[in-house]
Amino acid sequence: MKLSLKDVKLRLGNNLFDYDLEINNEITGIYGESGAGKSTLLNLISGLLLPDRGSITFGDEVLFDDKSKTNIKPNKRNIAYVFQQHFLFPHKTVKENLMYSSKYVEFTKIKFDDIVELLDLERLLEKKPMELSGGEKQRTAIGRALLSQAKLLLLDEPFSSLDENRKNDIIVYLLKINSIYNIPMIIVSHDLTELLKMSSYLVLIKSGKILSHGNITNLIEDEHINSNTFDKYVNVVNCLFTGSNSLLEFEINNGKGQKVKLSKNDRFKKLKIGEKVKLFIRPKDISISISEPNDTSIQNFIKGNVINIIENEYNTLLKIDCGEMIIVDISNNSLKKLELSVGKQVYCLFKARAIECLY
Amino acid sequence: MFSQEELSIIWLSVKVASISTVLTLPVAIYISWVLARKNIRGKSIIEAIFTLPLVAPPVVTGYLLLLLLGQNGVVGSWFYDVFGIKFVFNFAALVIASTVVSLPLAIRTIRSSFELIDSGYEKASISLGGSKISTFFRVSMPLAMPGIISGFVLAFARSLGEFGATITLAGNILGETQTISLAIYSNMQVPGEESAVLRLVAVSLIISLLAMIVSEYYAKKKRYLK
Repeated sequence: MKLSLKDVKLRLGNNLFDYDLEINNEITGIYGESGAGKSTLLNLISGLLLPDRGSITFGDEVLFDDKSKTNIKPNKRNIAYVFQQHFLFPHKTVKENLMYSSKYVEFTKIKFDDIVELLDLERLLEKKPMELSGGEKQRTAIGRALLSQAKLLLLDEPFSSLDENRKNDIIVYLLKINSIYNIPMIIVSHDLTELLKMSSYLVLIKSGKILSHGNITNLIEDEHINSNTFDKYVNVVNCLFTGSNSLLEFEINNGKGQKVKLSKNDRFKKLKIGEKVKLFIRPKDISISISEPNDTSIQNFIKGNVINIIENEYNTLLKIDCGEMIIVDISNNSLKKLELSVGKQVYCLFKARAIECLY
Repeated sequence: MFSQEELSIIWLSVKVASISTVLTLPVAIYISWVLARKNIRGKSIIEAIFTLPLVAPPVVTGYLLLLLLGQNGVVGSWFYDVFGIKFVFNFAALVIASTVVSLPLAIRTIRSSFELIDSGYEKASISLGGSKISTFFRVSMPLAMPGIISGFVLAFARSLGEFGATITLAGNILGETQTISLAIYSNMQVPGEESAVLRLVAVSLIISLLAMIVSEYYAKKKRYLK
């Protein structure tokens, strides 16, 4: 469902927020430095903050419009919000927290038992929030938000205060939810690595304004953001790719097309033919060869064509079409040595261990 | 142990304190919530008005109430003319004086309890489909419960001990408006009534102590926000 914010303006003290945005994705990541206005954007969408002017539409429904004086109250917007601090009601058990919306909506589409099973909440039901760990709190908050039968899920910094393993768990849960219930999600995070594991569609926010939005593989070509900086020294594009992953979606088949070897771990073992799998590879973990690499220890190589070359002072980013778009980060010296140009056929090499598979 | 007269004084005091506390509480909860959560114009004036009975001498509060509710007062004369109801030197006057004096104390306690609650809990409830009223009863009030209980007990204790405003508005009529505090004062003036004074003092202390114990017990049971 399409979400659009047109000329939405809000002044809070000395800060001016100005959003113009149209998104129509399953999962959208919102990235920016702290204080950039990421949470403010979520508050405006949910109706917890009202803009001074502009209009916000979700699907066919006008949520806010200053001209027609339309304002759907936040409790009637059908938009669930998972807050950074969770805000589980401390006087209620996990079960009571999950059931909170049952007084306002019927649990028809998203059912209590299904959510308890999906998010592994069974053994927590009688506990109070203060007895839960960070990950358990996060799962309960996500479950509670989903059970409000929301049509859109907003998540504010869902990975903060979680260790690496818990972060990956939450990502898997969210991806499962997205595929089972088909609920669009908007995820705010300053953790780009985690954000890009969930979505390759990013909205970049800086000083209360939307700098750019689009697929990460297209964002690197955006001249506007290429010339922009998040702070005095760091170029936005470089900042994006320092910790980012290439998100690749493969279908498991019986040996046709290009092969990717995965390291042996439990998650990979469970994969079946016909299943789709999302793999993540860091641009820095990919090497380039211009001839078919036969005498190397690296067993994975995918053939592709160079689509774009983005050079800057420190490194070069290559956009390569291998069926999926892959971003590769190489040094400026390598670029010269290999005499790479747009349209040239290359092989992308990466170790099996560099691949992360989540779902 | 207690004379019939003393028992009726104790009963009257408990009755007045209970009724005035029950009347005080919903008003105090609502005003506290408004002061803690709403940005309304003239908030500081409202705050000043509701704090005044706490800082002004109780006799002054009683006198102002007498001016307002007396048979010649603006409100009092209208009620007397239209309904034939009097608000001075009777049971109603006792309740009114107690309520007015205990209200600010309850507001101060309950308000700080509302202010301690992170507004995120209320936002979470709203985002889950709760209306403002539903959120108030399902989230804000239960979370503020320790403060509400403390406010309840303080209001009760203040009502029970009320003297200045009561004697001014309700008088000190034996069998009609004489509460424990007024009875202690009256008996102190009469030689040979020392034991009666001590008995009433003991009763006051026991009731206050019990109220404190009950409030502490419930406040501890419901303390979530530490």
